[in-house]
Amino acid sequence: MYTILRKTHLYAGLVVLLFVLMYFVTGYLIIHADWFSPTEPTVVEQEAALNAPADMDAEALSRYVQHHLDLPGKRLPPTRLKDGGWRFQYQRPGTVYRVEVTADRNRAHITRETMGWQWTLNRLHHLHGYGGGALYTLWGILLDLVGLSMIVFAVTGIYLWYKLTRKRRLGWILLALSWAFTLGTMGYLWFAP
Amino acid sequence: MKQPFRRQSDLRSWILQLHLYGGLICSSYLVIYGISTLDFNHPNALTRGNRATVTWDRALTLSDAGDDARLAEQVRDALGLFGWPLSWTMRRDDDNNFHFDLARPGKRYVVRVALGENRVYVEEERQRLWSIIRGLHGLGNDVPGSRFLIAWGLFTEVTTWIVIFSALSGVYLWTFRRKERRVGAALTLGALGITLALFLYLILHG
Repeated sequence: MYTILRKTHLYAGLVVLLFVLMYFVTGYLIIHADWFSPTEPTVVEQEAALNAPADMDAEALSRYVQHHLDLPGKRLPPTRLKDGGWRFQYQRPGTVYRVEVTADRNRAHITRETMGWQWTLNRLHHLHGYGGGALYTLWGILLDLVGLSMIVFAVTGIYLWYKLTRKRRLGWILLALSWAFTLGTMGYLWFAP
Repeated sequence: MKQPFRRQSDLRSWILQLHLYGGLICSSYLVIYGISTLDFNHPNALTRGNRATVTWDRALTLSDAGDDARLAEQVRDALGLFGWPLSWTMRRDDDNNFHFDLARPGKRYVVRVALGENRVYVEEERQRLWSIIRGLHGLGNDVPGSRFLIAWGLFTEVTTWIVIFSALSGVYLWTFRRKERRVGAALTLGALGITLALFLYLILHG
């Protein structure tokens, strides 16, 4: 049992190493956003002819627009505009494309926002969920692996500590403090007015 | 004077102890990170929504300086609540009411301040446990109105550094495991290559 869990801890750590480092380094930039104030994004706007078929549903139209205008990024859920048109968004870390399609589906207004490195890393950190293209599905799978690994590191780490040490008083104290504090904070958020 | 191999062994032992005990300190936060990450990646009806909505009101005398953000903070503090007043929900209506939402992990308040009556009407949405777990994910020490959560912000800071240290020290400790060196190297290099290629591809061509 010990060998299996030690290898699980080790190999899981090596496989998700860069992903975990990326999340904690970019997370640090996010919690200290005031230290790394982002620069204003560069905005470029343009018009394009579209002539999209009228019988497409919103999701199909979003795919068509992305393909027709050659826009990279993850497809985000479409928004219906009051005049009957559609707004689509395609996002990759550092760049967002917003496309407003007229109600007759003949024209598109494209807005491209290019962000600085702070926002690029911020968006990389916040990228989640399945769908929007094969690349983003792969990202979703890796993110699931990272999430599972966090739980695996905690559980196997406690087991490995228990097996590797004889004097355990300090360890029990740290463990109890950690869990008591987390559960206490959850209780505070649950019961506080 | 200590011999070189002894010094290396001492260093390894110290790093192992820090790796082990640091891991114990942040073990509960790692579980929070793990569950919340899976929840972010798989949003579903079970983890969203409210467990209950309660309405209440209270008499309150306020000095309306005309600044909506400042007024919302005054109301929050006077009611003994904490959280972020959401700027995009702030509005005034023709009946001299000021509306805003206040959010924090676990709860959201829809607030109507009846300025003419000196009364506040609150719709309190008590969210599910999942909302608290998501809310604790990377929560800093900037939750307005709560001194207690400053401690959680410190925990976030400590956990971040421990995880970065643990990731790097884990690689260091692995290099002493002769039997697992080959498999580990193959896994590490493979995973590093794929992950780095994915990051770059996503940012440059995604």
